Amino acid sequence: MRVTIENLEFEYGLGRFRLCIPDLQIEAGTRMAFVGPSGSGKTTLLRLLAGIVTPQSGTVTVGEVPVNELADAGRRAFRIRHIGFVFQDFRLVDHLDVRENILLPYRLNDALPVYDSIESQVKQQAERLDLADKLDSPVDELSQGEQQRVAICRALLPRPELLLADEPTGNLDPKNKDRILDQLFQQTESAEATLVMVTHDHALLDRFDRVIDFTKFHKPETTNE
Amino acid sequence: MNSLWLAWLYLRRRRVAAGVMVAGVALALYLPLAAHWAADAFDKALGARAAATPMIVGARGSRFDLVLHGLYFRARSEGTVAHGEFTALRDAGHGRVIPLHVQFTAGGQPVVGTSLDYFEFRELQMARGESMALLGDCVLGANAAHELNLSPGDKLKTDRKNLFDLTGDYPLQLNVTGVLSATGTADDEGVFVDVKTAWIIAGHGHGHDESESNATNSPSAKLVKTHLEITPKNMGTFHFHDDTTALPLTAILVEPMDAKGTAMVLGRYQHSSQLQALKPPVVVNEMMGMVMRVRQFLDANYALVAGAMGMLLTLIVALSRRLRSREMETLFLLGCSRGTQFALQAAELLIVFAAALALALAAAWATVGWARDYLNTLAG
Repeated sequence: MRVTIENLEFEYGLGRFRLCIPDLQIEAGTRMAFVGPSGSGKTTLLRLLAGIVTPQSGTVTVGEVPVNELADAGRRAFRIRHIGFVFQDFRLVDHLDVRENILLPYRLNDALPVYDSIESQVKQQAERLDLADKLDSPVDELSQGEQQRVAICRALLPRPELLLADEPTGNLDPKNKDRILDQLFQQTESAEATLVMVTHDHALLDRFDRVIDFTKFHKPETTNE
Repeated sequence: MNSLWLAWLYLRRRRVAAGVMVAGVALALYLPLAAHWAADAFDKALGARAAATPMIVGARGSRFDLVLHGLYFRARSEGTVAHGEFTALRDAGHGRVIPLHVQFTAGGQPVVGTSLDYFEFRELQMARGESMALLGDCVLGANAAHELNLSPGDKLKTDRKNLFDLTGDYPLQLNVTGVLSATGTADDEGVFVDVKTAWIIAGHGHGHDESESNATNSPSAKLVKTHLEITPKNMGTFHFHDDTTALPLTAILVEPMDAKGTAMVLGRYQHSSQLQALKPPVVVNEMMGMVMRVRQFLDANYALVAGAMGMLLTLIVALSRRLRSREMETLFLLGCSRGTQFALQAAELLIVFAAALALALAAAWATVGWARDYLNTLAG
C-alpha cells in the first residue's frame, strides 16, 4: 500500500512540538525505517499515518484514501481494516490472555467481524511467532520478548496492507531483535504489505529499503525572544 | 455480545473486586426485596387465615393476642371462657361454634383441645390413620408428625409446664390415631385432642384405681393410683370433679350463619367486662396496617441506602475509569470507539448488577421461604 504525505504540518503543546513534512512518498511493499533522536516526531508520524491523530494542515494519503479527511469513525474503520500497528510499549491488556489480546481488535470493532475460522488463524499466526503454547496464558506472565510477539501477532492477524511498528525491537537482546525483524519482514513480504518501522538501532538499518532521518522534519520549539 | 464477553473476562480476572461489588449491590437490593416479599407473605398468610376465621370469642384483653392465639395457637390467652358460654352460644343457634383449649404442648408442639367440628371448619383431611374418637386420642398436624417422627399407633407424652411443681399437671400419654394432610397453615403444627382430653391434661379431670388395704379400713390406707395414660381398660375411671360448664376454654371460634348471627354475637359481648368477640380479619388488617407503616419507614431507609450505594458506585466507576485510563487508551488505539468503551463499562456494570440481582433474589426467596415456615411455626 502506497503512502503519500503532502505539506503536512502537525503541532501540539501550544507550538512546543512541530512536525513539518513537505513531501514524502512510501511505495507499496517498501521496508522503511524512521530514525532520529527522541522527540523528533517518529512516533507522531506513525500515528498520523494510522489516523490516530490528524494534522493541522496537509494530506496523509494511504493507498487512495486521504486518511486525515475521513471522519473519526471512518478513519478508525480504515485503520482497523488496512493498517497494523505494533506499539512501542506493546499495549497489551493485562486481564486478557494471549488469545484474547490477539483477537481484541476483532472484539472491539465492527469493521473486523469475527469469522468462523478466526480461531484457527490465531493459532496459525501464534505458531509462526512461537506463541502457540502461550495462547491461554495471561499476558502479564510473559517475558518482554513474548509480549512483543503477541503485539506483533495482534497487528498482523488482519493481514494489514501497511504495518507500522514503533521500536518493536527496543527492549530486546540482539538475538531476539533479529528474530523479530525476520518475522516482521517475512510476514509483511508474504502479505505484500508496506512496513514502516521506527528504530534507534542503526545496526538494523542495512536491512531496510529506505531510511528517513527525522532530524530534518522536526522544527524545534520557537521562542519569542 | 463482544462487550459482554470482554466485560466478563475483565470481571473474571478481577474476581475479588467484582465479588465485593456484587456482594455490596446484592445486599442493597436484598434488604428491600426480602422485606417486601416477607411482608407480602405475612400479609397473605395472615389474611387468608383470618379470612377463614370469621369470629373469635375470648377473654377481654389484648385483641391481637386473642386473634393470634385462636388462629396460630400462639400468645397465651389472658383469661378463659367458661365452657358454659360455649354451650350457650351453640344453643343460641347463631352459627357453628368451636371450642379451643390451647394451653399445653406435647413434644414442643401445641396441644389443641377442640371438637371434631374444627376439622370440618378448617377443611382438614386425614393423610394417615383415623380421627380422634376416644379420650386420650390425638391427631397430629403434618409438620408435628414429621418433627416428632410419629405415626398412627404411636404414643406421645404431653410436656409438663413446670418440672418443679409437684402439685401441678402431670404428663398424659396420648395415642396418635391419625396424621393430617399438610395445609401450609398453623394447623400443620398442632396436636389435636378432644377438649375433654385437654381438660384432663390440665388436671381438671383424672382417672384412678382405688384399692382398699387389707390391713386397715382407715382412709389413709387407701392406695390411689392416678393413671397417666387413658386406655380402654381405665377409661371408665376418668371423671371430672367440677361442673363441666365451669371448665375453661381459651377461645371459641364462631362461624355465624349470616350477618344477623354476626351482629348477635358481637352484641352479646359488646358490654361484657369479661369477654370480647372479635372479627379476626379486622384485627389482622389493623396489625398489617401497622406492619405497612413500618414498611414505609423501612422503604424510606432503603431509598437512602440505595442513594448512598448509587453514589458509591458512581465514585467506584469514576475511580475505576481513572485507574483504567491506560487500558482505555489502549482500546482506543486498537480502534475502540468511545461508544464501545462506554458499552464495555456498561456491560461490566450490567453483569455486576445481574449477578447481584440474582443473588439478592435467591436470598430474598430463601428468606421468604423461611418467613413462611416461621409463620407456620408461630404455633410453637
